Amino acid sequence: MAQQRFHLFKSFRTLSLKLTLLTVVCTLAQIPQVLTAQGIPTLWEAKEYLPPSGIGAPDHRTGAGTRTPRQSCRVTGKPLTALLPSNNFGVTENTHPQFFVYVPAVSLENESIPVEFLLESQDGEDIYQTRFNSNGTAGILAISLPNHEGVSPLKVNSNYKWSFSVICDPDERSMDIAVEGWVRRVKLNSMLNHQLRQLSLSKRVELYAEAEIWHDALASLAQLRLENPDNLEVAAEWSKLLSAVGLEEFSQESIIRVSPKSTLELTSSSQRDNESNDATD
Amino acid sequence: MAWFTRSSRLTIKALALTLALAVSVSAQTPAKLGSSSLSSRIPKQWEFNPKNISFQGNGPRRVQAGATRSSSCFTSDRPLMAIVPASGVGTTLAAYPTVFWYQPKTSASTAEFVLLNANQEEVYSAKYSLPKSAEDTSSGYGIMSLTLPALANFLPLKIDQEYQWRLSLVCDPMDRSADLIVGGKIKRVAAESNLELRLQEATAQDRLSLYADERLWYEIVSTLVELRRTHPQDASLASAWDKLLESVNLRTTSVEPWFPMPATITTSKQ
Repeated sequence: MAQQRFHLFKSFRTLSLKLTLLTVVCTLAQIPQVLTAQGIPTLWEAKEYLPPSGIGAPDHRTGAGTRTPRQSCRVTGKPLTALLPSNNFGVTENTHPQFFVYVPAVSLENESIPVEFLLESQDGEDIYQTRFNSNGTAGILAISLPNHEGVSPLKVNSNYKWSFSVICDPDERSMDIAVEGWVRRVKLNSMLNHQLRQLSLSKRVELYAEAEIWHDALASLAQLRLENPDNLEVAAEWSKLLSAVGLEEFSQESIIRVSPKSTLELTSSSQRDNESNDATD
Repeated sequence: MAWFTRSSRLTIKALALTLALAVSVSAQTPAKLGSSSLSSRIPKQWEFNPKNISFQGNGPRRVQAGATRSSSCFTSDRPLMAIVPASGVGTTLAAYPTVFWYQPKTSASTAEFVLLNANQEEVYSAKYSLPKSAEDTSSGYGIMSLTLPALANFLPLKIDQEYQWRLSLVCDPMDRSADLIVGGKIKRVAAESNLELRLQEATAQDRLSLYADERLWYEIVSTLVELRRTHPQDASLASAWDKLLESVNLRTTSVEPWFPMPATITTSKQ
């Protein structure tokens, strides 16, 4: 009996030692450090930010579609895919972030097929939903949470669930081809914040990547890519970022944005969205 | 003639860039637009003898007061308003225009936007929850805008077709007949190449004049809204805005500002 107790005591001590070490390490990790923008990691790892629990282990980035795809919804080529790390979870510091999805080519019965984006709070309350008719063009879609329609900014440290669906049959939503992901808005420590404002867009990408801020790394890089479509370095960075999360197959896909902004408008709304957190360009 | 075009293209780009930067950066700098003459560029009347609004039956109105038989969704002295001319129809050159409405402080839970094509088919929609009264109310009211997404898989507006848009405040999710709805129409028109060039080469003031002359409604509203958002204290811009609204019989006075200052504005003073 005494021996058992002794063993128990020993294991308690070991455990408490381990716990102490863990606490020290954790505390150390919280001390803001100057990140050195050393480049996009080869493998995207979740160390600082862990996804909310219970969002499902299987990779939900890919929309498999229905077992018996209707003629109106035949997907050719790569599947509908959310551009996220493999844990379906991304972090942003933006009040109105961008969400990226690879939309496949859909062979259409009619000339268009409705697609829908939905953002919900962690409690399942609808925050924002948009639907439009897609003409079936394939490519990478960037959906921005709009700034001026009265959509409240995302709350700091809150988790939100987003989904993107191709609505094969509006009367039968179970036939949707859909993907989903989770996003958390975070506030960066002031040192990191300060660093970011000093940097050029390309350096900012690296810092975002190093700080595990997926959505902003991807959005910044996408913007760079749109502005410099022939730049090989930017293309390589883009490829590297997607590869880090196992999505290298999409690195050659074009971003489905109509270019360029009309010079008739003084500022485009997307520029304003990007500026909501940036002091200078 | 060729050298003129080439160098002017550079000037255009530089000008557009400078203009974009000037308008988008710091809200502290006063609008250097020869402000006193800005109002003079706005016509007194946008439309001549506007026909009665062409919305019949279920079509949305331009202005919607707060109280209906079954609900009162807001009690502001400034109603829910679609910022469109009296006939309801505004023209634009843009393939993916931006539309504007005034949204009063409201207890409505959700707002819904819908765009219909000439066949009354839904082409685009957006729905979002409005901030609850206890929360940050500065983001939930004022002049709101929605820009159609410029995506290659979303077809641009067809030229010379009239699209109808409507904005619904869902006062009671259980009773959609109590929605308060306003709306307008968009007609995309083609520009003769001369106009595009003139617009590109124009100063901001001249551009406003061109928009007014050509009666490009959504462009002129866009421009003024942008300016007012970035220069909220500028009195001359405020009067230009008032004059524009007056030209379409939408001018109202209220305790609620058209452009409320966001509570969390971060002015960049590094």
